[in-house]
Amino acid sequence: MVTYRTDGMSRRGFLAGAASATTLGALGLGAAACGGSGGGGTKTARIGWVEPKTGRLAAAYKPIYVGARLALEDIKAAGGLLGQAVRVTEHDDKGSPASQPAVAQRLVRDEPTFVVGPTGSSQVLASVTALSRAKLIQSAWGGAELLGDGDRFPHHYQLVYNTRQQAEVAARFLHEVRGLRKIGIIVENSEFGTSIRDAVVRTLRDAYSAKPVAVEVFEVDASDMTPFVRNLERAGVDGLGLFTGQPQATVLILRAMAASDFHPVIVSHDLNYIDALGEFPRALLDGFFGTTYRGLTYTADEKPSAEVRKLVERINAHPDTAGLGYSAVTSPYYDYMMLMAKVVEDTRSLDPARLKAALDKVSGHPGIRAKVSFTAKRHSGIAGEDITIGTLMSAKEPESLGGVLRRRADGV
Amino acid sequence: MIADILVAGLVFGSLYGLVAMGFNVLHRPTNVVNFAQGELIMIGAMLMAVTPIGALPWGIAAVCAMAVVGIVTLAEERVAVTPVLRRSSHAAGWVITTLAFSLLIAEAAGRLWTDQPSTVAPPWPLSMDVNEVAGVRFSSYQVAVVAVAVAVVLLLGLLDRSRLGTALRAVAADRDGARLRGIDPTALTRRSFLLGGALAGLTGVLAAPLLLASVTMGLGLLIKGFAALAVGGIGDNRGVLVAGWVLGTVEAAGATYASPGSQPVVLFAAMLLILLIRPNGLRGLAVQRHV
Repeated sequence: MVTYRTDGMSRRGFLAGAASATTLGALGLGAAACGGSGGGGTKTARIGWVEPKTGRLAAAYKPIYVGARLALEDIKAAGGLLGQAVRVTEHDDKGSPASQPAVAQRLVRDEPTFVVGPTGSSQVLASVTALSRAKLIQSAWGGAELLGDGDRFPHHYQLVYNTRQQAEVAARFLHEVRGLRKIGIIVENSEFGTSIRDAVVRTLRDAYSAKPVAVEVFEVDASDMTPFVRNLERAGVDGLGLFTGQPQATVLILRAMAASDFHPVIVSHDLNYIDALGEFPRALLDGFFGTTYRGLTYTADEKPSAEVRKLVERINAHPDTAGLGYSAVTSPYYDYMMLMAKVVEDTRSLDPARLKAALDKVSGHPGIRAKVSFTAKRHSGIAGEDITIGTLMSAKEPESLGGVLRRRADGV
Repeated sequence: MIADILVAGLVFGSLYGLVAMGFNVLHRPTNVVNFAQGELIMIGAMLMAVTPIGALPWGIAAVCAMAVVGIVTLAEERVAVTPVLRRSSHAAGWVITTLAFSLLIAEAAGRLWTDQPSTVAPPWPLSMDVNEVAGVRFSSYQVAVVAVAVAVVLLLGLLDRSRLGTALRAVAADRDGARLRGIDPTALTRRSFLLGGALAGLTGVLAAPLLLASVTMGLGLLIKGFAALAVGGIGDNRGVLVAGWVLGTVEAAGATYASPGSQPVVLFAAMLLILLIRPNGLRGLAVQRHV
């Protein structure tokens, strides 16, 4: 028997290869191809559109743009913008922050009247930063508080509630409405998770002189949530803020809770009801709540408006919704497109500078989900009173119109 | 609490070990580390999620998933590995080509499925229901996952001792020399990719009830499988399983005891420490072959 060293890959070579692959992966993600055609002739109003058309998030993000597509139908049916045909130039960002500078360059070349998207906090931050000098009016789906700062991003308008607003509503629900005193927080290790964790801690401190009894931060690729859930259980948590953009993480956290019969009141930011939740005990799911828009909720005495119901029916009928009607209806893009159409009509202009001046004075615009108001400094347009708490399990009620609307939680 | 950590370490460590074993199977005849392994595992899990288990028994669904992933891996070998190795058996172009194949799979999955996770039930009579024995909490399915990982190590050990295993070692040692001895490295590479793909499919099938099937599940398993491979030693299947268990336990302990957000630091610090002490892998066999 002979023992000898092979000339195969050495450990150093393997580790170097792994490092190279990681770099190449990042480059691969960054080298986003952009779709759609640029430019446009005269008598055409152009809209820039950023959406993941390819990549891992392509199917997941489609429902988020359903509202924008419906608004586009409405604008076209009304004769376009100032009577001009509307031309949308769609750009594929692959759902990646690294793609945003390249997408921004193409958007700048297109010279659109306004820009729709991108979606996702990290993507939005990269996009608004890349577009900040181009003075293109934009609304994207990102909840970071700084995205609504008119001084910092004067051309970005936030038509979603931000992490601070979410944190205030969640903390108020747990502390005031439910009277819970042992509040815990579990968040993913990301820009969004960090932002909302800090906001909840700040709100508890400033508004209630309280602090969370446990704060758990998990990696987005964590395989097992049991240790984090056990820490919360040991701390005696009776009210929990659960914030993650990963539906898989939410389900794994609930699974760990179900396994140990630990059923705190939960407030999340996502009320999508997915089939995977069917495995959990009803008691756990009945205690699951989430922040949402008042206009998308109902109570025994208060029903959503006819406009909301009509939009929900259209969303449900759209092929891109794919059962994720809740994501589609909470997306900011329907309200944004319709607001832009109104501002264009009011100003009789497609000039971004004039549109910006008008947007900075919008007050109480009746959006489908909530009223929208801006000032030159405050570009976070959703008023605090239009944010409320809904129940997860109302997705199963007929009034939810196929799981799209939500029953408002008792006491809010 | 310690029992909980050990259970989590063994169960999830077994998955990491299986990922690393998949790397080993493909690496043996080609010296290629397959960067598409994570996405192949994802395909296995997603196939289980979309298969109507009521219409198809779990075992048959699992075998079908393994077969499909094996075929996809074989296609990868044809388009992304063999053309590179044909030019030079020592070329490192496979880093890019296997990564590109991985991106293609992710792209296709992104078009087919949303990021919503799907539950996959364990096969009868196993379940995810938690039992408590002497203060240790575990489910019957978790026990089965650990048992399957051990069984795979034993089976690969038997394969290693067969004529096929000897031929694979000869190809690994010297591809051109093996060819002169009448061994067909190309055929062996194909078989290894088929087997490695089936193993990736099995890992996905096993992971689905534990982690939920989702298009986003591949990357995390790929990274932790790499960690197990680096710590356990390339080519050492027993080593990578033990490394998986160690890393799984460190990960669970980090989540329990370390400050929030520092679990990855704990995990990689442990990995670095092990590599400093045992640079050739936990069992020190990483670069030695017996012929």
